[in-house]
Amino acid sequence: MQLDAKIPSGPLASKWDRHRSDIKLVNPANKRKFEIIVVGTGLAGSSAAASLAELGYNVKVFCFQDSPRRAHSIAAQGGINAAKNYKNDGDSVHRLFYDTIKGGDFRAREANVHRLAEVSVNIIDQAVSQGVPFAREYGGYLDNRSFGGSLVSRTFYARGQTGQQLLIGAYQALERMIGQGSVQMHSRHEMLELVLVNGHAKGIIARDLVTGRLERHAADAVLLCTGGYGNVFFLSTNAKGCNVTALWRAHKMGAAFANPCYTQIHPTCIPVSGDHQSKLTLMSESLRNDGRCWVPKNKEDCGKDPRQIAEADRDYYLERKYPSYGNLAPRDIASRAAKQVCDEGRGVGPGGLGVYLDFSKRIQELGEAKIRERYGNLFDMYERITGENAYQVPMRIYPAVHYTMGGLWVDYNLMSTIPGLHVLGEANFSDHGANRLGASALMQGLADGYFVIPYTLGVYLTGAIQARPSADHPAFIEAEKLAQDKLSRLLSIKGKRTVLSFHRELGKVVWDKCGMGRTDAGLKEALAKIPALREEFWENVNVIGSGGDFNQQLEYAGRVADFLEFAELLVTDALHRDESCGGHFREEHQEEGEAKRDDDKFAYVAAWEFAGIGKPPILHKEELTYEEIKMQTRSYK
Amino acid sequence: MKLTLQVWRQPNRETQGKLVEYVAPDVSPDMSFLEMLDVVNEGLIGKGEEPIAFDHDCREGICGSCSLQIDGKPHGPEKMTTTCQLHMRKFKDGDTITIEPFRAKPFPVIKDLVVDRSAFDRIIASGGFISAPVGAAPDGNAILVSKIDADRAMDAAECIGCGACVAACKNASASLFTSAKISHLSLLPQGRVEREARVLAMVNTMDAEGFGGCSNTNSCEAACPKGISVSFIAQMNREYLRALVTKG
Amino acid sequence: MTGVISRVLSSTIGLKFIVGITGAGMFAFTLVHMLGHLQMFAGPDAYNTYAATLQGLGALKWLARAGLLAMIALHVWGTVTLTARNRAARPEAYQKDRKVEASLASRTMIYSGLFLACFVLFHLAHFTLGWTHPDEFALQDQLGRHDVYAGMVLAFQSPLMSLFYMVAVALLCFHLSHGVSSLFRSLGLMSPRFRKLEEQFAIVSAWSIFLGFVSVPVAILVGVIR
Ligand SMILES: Cc1cc2nc3c(=O)[nH]c(=O)nc-3n(C[C@H](O)[C@H](O)[C@H](O)COP(=O)(O)OP(=O)(O)OC[C@H]3O[C@@H](n4cnc5c(N)ncnc54)[C@H](O)[C@@H]3O)c2cc1C
Ligand code: HEM
Ligand code: HEM
Ligand code: SF4
Ligand code: F3S
Ligand code: FES
Repeated sequence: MQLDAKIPSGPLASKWDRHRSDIKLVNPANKRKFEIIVVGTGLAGSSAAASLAELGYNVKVFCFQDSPRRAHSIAAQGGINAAKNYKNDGDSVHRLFYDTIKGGDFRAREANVHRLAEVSVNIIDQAVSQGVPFAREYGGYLDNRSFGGSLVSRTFYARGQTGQQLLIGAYQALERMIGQGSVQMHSRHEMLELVLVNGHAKGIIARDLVTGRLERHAADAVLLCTGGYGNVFFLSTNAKGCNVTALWRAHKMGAAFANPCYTQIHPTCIPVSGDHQSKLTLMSESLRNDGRCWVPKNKEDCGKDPRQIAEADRDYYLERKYPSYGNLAPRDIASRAAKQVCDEGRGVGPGGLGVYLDFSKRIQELGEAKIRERYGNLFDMYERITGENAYQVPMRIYPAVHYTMGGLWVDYNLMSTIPGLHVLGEANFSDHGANRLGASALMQGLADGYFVIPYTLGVYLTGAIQARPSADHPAFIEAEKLAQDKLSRLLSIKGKRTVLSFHRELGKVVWDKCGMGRTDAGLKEALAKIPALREEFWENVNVIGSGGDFNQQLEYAGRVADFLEFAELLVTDALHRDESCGGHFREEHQEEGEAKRDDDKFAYVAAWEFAGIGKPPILHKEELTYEEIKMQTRSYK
Repeated sequence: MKLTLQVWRQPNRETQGKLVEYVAPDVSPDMSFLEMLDVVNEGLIGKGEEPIAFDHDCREGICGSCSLQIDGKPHGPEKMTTTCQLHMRKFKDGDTITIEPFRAKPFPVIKDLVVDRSAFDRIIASGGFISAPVGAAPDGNAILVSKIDADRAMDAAECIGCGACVAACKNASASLFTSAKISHLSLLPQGRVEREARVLAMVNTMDAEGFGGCSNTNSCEAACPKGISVSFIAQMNREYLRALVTKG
Repeated sequence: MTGVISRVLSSTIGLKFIVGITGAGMFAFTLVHMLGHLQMFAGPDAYNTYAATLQGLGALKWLARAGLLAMIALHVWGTVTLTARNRAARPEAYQKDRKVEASLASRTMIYSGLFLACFVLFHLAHFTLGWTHPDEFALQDQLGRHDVYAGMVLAFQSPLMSLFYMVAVALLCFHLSHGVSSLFRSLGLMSPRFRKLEEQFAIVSAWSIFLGFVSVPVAILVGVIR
């Protein structure tokens, strides 16, 4: 396997411009002859599908939800970054670029990140034109706020529903093209296999989730925009349907998986309330703009009513440790700090897994009305879930898995190691390194879809492309059989345990051993447990019903089966990366509790090649070279 | 607490369904409604019975996947709350809860509590957008939008497309959903260019899909988890009148 | 133009324009009709003069009658069409239905309306055409005019007839208590700022019309008017 990132030559700031004008154009008459498959309708998928259809391509789009509008991007609350410098506070493309690289703890690819910062400004323009109702100031200008780990105000937002509004904008653009007939939409369809013909991605096998039928879809190129794999942890802030299936099956067909161990833990989530817990709810990070994190200084105070604990007995640990960023320290740092104080036995709430996020000071300063105006919907949500009124009692929060920086390896053109297979959005690995800054996933998804792939797809289509096969090609028949066999096998086991119980158990292993803090011994333990659990799954899972109709258990079983294979790769990657960086915290490597990178040994992207289930995957390295910037120790003190 | 559930079971679109009784013996008040159903389903699977099918995804009240008519109310008894955000502390030990799918001709049942809401997508596809092809956009601040208009557009844009408005309405009318989109877009200067064509096309599709008309009964607004106001329905009617006068 | 007409006649919103406009027209007529009636309290002469003036309008009278008839016909056609479509939109009823928020009046418009249609037919036969009680209808006052006043007193001295009219008017106002606020919205004349006002207007006008109409039979029954 060859990893060629295909980074254009020339100075960093002009690479993208040059590359764009160098890409051979696809003849407009030919565009109509190309069929493009887009799997996923989140920000990345919807925006890509709409833009490609606008260019004249025939596009087939797939999502497992009942409507493309429900993709998980809908849940993003906080905002989207763009280097507009509307606030005149010193922002620039370069600064956004640098912040993102630094935020990613110097493990992202420089050229991609610079391009991301460049097109960030176009995204806002595009979204405004589509009618995204961003917050405005009284004068009618767009409003900005500062967001997780940034000292400039560059985050655009639409109440607490930025992801929803951006997705609805992209979804409407997509629906427009559906109405015009240039996009064929397949909702309630799940991609099960990627079809390769002569080594090129030429189609997919999808299951119609309503009828249960397997369908073959041929195309000239395939775009995976299927989001992240955070649900391997079972409990995460991801939607219940988020999965690794599309990525994993593509990986098994030869696409390299990069940096799977880079997972992000978000500091401000509502803590677990009991065994029934099915997911965790994120409270927007913007809460940290006005809320202060603390725990009691003394363990004995943990059970007390927080309002009875004297100011002097409170430890505002973020303000103490990071005086300049304080409560706004980046996510990985804030999460780890919370874990530390809880590990010290100073956590609050059920199981001692929680810290306070206290608004009382700001409520005193600004008045409750102002706080209500800013965060009313979040406080309401908190009350619905916990039954507590956070205007009176401090919120309790705890970190939870939130985002996965790893994903399929792609080159500068967003093409994976399989020719013709492109990967966009959270599903690829390229822009966030070892940690993602707040408000930059939305930016990346839309950058990929609106402004990168419409150009870079041309590189493949005008290159050594293979003709589109018919859907009767033996490769399709074979892939369909593969998918069918797997489904039949799942249905035939009829064991004693539910799919959910396996998922929960897997999640616990991965969270305990490969979550916020990872150790050599713990990871090895996980590597022993996961295959055993997988074996038990294939002998003892009970999937009720048939494959010939709507069967949610069968869908779920397929996803959990893939998580059980993928988890091993995730842990393997974490074990091999014997350093701490960003969200990957190896407890062996720390300096005063901070992540300690090892740039001499690990300044590379780990791209794994599949070698068979249960076989050690093969590591390929893409060295990270920085032309513009120097690697530094990240400091937010 | 212990609850009795009356759940609509229907194997597929063609077969007639019925209410079936289940007991949920050990419900914690901290569970969400869907977590309670998860637990019931685990029990059913254990007994070799088919679990209850229901739509859900984000479980955060934003994707609009979850539905359910709970005791005759879409998304259940709590105001401004989706089913996935409804928590069991709103119920009492010993309660009997009836759970049905959203019912409307344009929302055929797929299985049990899962219905097909793709009619909403077709309404959007017929005109619920601003034609702004990628590449042509001027600077985001080139066209100013008053905060009042932007806020009001946002009020309308909060719709999550869940279909509770249709489920609640005695006429199974999609007026609240359709009007929210029409209002969101026509409140913004960017959206005014196409306003007449948009409202004519969307209303046409809404009717053609088989939704009923609006009798201004306000059930939709009361059931809407996002509190979308029926005043947007008046705005849609106004837009429609305007379109008839200028472009009809 | 044909586009406009076919859209008005076929779309749910267009039909509501028809229902709303005719509803508004009938509402206006009813209001005036009720105010006219209050002249019963001014004595037979005043009232009969009023009636004679109306009768004497000639062509204008027939124009108004034609208009009223057309409004009723359109309103009934529009609402019946809509009701059929609305019912078809929910072929399978809920097993348990809480009728979220919707007022009783708003849910029963078609029944109160259809009853009103019957009432109007009877009422025309009664007072305008004189078919039901030709004896009352034949009365003349000293000036040789049609003695509407005396006819009415005669009619409402029958408690049964009074009761029937009172029930009818009650239903009318029930219909209007929802209808009047509804028509503003149907015609697009509502915004959050005016919402409360419009709803209050509907309630107040419905009650006023009720009290105005009912005052006459009540006054006759208790002997204030004789
Ligand atoms: C609670 C929450 C809050 C967030 N807040 C922010 C924020 O404020 N700012 C920010 O920048 N980022 C935020 N993020 C991150 C951001 O929302 C996501 O990273 C981003 O939206 C991912 O977009 P996507 O298009 O890559 O994938 P998704 O939106 O996850 O879409 C995946 C799509 O793939 C489809 N799919 C998946 N598998 C298959 C399959 N096998 N077959 C067919 N279809 C499939 C799904 O149907 C779906 O349409 C947040 C994330 C969460 C969880
Ligand atoms: C004659 C028989 C009548 C019938 C069958 C009838 C029926 C109805 C129905 C079903 C509606 C609700 C329509 C909907 O919202 O979809 C309605 C609305 C209305 N009706 Fe009637 N009605 C009748 C007579 C009247 C009369 C006599 C009046 C007035 C004096 C009247 C005034 C109204 C008004 C104002 C509305 C509201 C219109 C709107 O929502 O825009 N109706 N009618
Ligand atoms: C107590 C209540 C009512 C009384 C006493 C009453 C009385 C009368 C009388 C006396 C006439 C005949 C007038 C004339 O021939 O000069 C008349 C006509 C009429 N009334 Fe009423 N009325 C009442 C309620 C109503 C109501 C509720 C309606 C319907 C909304 C209505 C609709 C009409 C109509 C349409 C006519 C015919 C007008 C015409 O001649 O063109 N009335 N009414
Ligand atoms: S208007 Fe409200 S109830 Fe209707 S679809 Fe939108 S959010 Fe759901
Ligand atoms: S409930 Fe139905 S009648 Fe109109 S106001 Fe809402 S659509
Ligand atoms: S599951 Fe997404 S809104 Fe309820």
